[in-house]
Amino acid sequence: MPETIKMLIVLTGISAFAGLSLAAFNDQTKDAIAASERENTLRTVRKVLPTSDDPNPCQKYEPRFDNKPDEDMVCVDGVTIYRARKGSEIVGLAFATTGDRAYSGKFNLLVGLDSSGKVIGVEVLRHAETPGLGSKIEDCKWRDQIIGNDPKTMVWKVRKDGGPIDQITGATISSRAMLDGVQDALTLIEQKKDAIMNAAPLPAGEVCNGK
Amino acid sequence: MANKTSLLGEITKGLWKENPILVLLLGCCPTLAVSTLAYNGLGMGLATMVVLVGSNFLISLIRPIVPKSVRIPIYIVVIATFVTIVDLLLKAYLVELSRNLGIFVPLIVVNCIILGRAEAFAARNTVGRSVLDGIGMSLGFMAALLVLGSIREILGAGTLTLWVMGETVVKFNLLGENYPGILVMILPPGAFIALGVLLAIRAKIQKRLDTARS
Repeated sequence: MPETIKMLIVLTGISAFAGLSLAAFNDQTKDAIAASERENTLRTVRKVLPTSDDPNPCQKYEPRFDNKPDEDMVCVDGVTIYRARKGSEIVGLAFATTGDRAYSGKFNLLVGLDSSGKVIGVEVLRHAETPGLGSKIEDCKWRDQIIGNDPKTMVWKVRKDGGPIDQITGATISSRAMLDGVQDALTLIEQKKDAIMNAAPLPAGEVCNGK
Repeated sequence: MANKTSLLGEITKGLWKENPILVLLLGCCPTLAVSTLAYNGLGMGLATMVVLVGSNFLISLIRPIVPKSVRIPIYIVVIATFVTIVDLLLKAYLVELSRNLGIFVPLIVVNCIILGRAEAFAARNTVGRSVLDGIGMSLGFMAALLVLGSIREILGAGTLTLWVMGETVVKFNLLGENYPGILVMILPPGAFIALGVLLAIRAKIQKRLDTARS
């Protein structure tokens, strides 16, 4: 057999084998991957919608809602909002906002509001800030300053910009970006409260396009 | 091809004599990038082990039918297949690790330890020896990454994270809650500093051993 033909056969055969085994593995894992992504979303939603009246970003949470918020999502102005209900009443909303003007790329936030619009939780889902500086946006001490404030009187600015919140030393930009993300959620609920509370949930499998 | 190394020697050579990181200095990109936590080092080591043992096994198995001229594309296809499998498995069952390692899981494809062992070892040796070589080399890689990750995490954050899976977290707060952390150890320069110190220590010990022997 000429070398060229052998080459073709062997390379094609091995690639076909590789393709088949990958297809099989993809088939085996795709449900588990979807489930673990879902589990992760639910866990974070639970964290930003805590049970106690004195929310602390690092306590262990029990959900105070009894629905599955990821099956009760709405999409308003391109922001995904998870609605947590107790019975049929909405007890909390988790806004998936972003810190657009972060130091390194964007970061994704989940901002939890109770039905009065008070911030009851905030979690950083993903960020690419500098480890040790900007990454402190995940710290409890910093997030604690955001949680529990009355949205009517609160000014969402860091001290450097004349606000009441201590920026993270060495990470003012990250701090600002995070507050912007919180502010986005609050603006949205102020302007579109009806739509957020009453819109029909997104059908399963659909995602919110936008930011 | 005759080989004088004993079977056990195939494993142990990767740990010390031919340690891929500390001696061969291969695969420095994942090494330096992911070793910010002990757990990341361990996880990267495990992922690499699956890929290396798998690709060494398959490559030594198909050795007789692989034409010389297309061996590199074939190795890459085999390696890429194992890497994609590992990537899928991590995403499905070890989500935190998959997120921590990020792009460095797919990048195992271009980790020169793996192609290096395929070309230098698996393509010339029997299946059994190739698998043992894969185990040894990846154990050496994992050990070096684990030590590097531990040093950087302990100095940089005061903690030692060994396992994270959902709510199960094995994490020790070694230096207390208020340890401020040496920031540079978490940042890229810290990786070079720690690796440099490790290399020096290994070389020093080796020198002692050599002197003792002669």
